[in-house]
Amino acid sequence: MSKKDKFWDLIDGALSEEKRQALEQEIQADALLQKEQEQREVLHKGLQKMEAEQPSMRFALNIMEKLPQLYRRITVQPLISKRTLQVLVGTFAIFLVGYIGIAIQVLKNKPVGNTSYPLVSQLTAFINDTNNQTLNLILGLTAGFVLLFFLDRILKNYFQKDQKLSSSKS
Amino acid sequence: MEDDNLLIDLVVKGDQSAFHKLVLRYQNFVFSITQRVLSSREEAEEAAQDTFLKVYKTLGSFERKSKFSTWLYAIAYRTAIDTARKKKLPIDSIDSDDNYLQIKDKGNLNPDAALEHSDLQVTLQTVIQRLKPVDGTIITLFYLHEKSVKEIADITSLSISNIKTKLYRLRETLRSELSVLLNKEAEDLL
Repeated sequence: MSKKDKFWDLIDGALSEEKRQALEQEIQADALLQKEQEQREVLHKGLQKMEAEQPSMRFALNIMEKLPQLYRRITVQPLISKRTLQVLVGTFAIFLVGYIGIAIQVLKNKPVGNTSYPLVSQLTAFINDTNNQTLNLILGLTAGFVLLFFLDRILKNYFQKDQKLSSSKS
Repeated sequence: MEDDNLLIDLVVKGDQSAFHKLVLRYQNFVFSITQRVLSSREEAEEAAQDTFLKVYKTLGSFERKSKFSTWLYAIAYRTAIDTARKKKLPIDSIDSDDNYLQIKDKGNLNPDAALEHSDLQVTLQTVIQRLKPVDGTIITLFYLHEKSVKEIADITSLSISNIKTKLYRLRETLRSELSVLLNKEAEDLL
């Protein structure tokens, strides 16, 4: 800290009472120091009166208009592509036809029993047969996946519609 | 006037009008800081806008360990410095210690020229705008924003001792550069 720094400390009120008095006496005794200190005080007061710069009139409005852009929604996309869905539905359809075919073949020679709907009765019996659990499980899982993938498509369409409505409102 | 913290709580809950109030409250101060760093008014306004948008995005992470204004000014200062660097605008090293006497163009600051501006305020405003970015910011923060040396150090990422030294030297430089005008003002006061 140079000696001149103390003069600013005096103005900033950063000196102890003892140091302040000593420095003030020193200044009083020297005409040049007195003049310099007056300059510092005028400068200090001038700087204190400094006013903030003003931006354009639309400054705040411009910011507020930009806020929605910060939250622009990510484009809604389905998790599964259309091609994948087509392949899965095709596989499921083939598997279902095969399943029914196997079921009919297996149960062809079995007694139908006393029912008005022999095919339904045969299929129900096939499904309930514990020997066919693996086939049932595969069919069930495939059907589940197909349903999930369709749900994915439905949700995509729903959110896209919602997004269009929101943007048209704003 | 609503407390900053109350407005911040409202903004975090999604109240955009509360953010508008914060912008109106601080826009002049933030703009003053970016203006100190970027001499172009347009660049300064763009940087000030970027500052508020950054603040809006990150307000939720503001931990309130410091005053909101200190946090805001730190973002404003960094945004302005980054803008200056990106656009390759002339800024001097903000880290070098030999930056005390930083009035860029002393030729335009002779006492006679200063006297042409009868108003000390106008002259000071002009002179401060000619200081190097970091120095103009320090003076602005100390006087206009009434920030403590510690807060200025937090905002500018400089050490407290560095800020203190810069403040002494800057003011002393201003005093000697504007001595004629200051004497005249002192006489007028008497």
